[in-house]
Amino acid sequence: MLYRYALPRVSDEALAKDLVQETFLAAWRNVESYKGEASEKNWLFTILKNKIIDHYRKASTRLTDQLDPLTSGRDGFEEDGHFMQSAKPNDWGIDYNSSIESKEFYGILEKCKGKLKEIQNAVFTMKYMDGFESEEICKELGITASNYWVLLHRAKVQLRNCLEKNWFIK
Amino acid sequence: MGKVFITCKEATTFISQKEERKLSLLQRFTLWTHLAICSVCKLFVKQNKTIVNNINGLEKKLDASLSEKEKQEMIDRLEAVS
Repeated sequence: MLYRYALPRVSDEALAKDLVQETFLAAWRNVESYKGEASEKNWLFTILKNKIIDHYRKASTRLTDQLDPLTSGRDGFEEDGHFMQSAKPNDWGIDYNSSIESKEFYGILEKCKGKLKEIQNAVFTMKYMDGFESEEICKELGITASNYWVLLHRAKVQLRNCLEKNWFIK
Repeated sequence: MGKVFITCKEATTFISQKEERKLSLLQRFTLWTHLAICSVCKLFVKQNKTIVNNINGLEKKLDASLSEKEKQEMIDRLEAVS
């Protein structure tokens, strides 16, 4: 349960395992403070969630320099602002409004997520998997609003490219 | 006065920005104009939505789990420190 929760949030099997182990260790050390107010399961999940955010914070401290502004770097675009041929969206031939059932899709989505930079993955996960508000994310990770925004946009562009290349093979 | 026609690169940044805050009138107008003529960016909008709508609850769709051996190793380590 805990592992299954942690894995898609950190996209690294060994790290997810370590976080679960640390969660149990922390629970063991603090067993005295457990007042039985929440179920054991919820208590463990709370510890694990904090461990995951700690991990994200560490990733953000490595982001010491200001990111390049969006105007620099290519991100799949030509200099004139057109999509590069290799990164141009193709029709996936699915109903975009219905939810996707294919397990393979989610496996690839998870792998593509793992290819993002750690900090991009952190911002993306907090926003779209855990539903944090953008202000909270900036505060937790100690990043500026403009950094947050660049990270999230790049994560989305890259995820889309990666999914298309690996899943919707023409 | 900004320009009326924007590039796909600018359009995709507006598309992302739109999820976070309201675009200016000019930005909305240029994005709308761009999407009216650019099928590629229209696809980008749809695919982007598909990704963010399906990512929620990803763990339930992956059902990853630890092997019995890995679980035992964790228990052993816990016992070692306790």
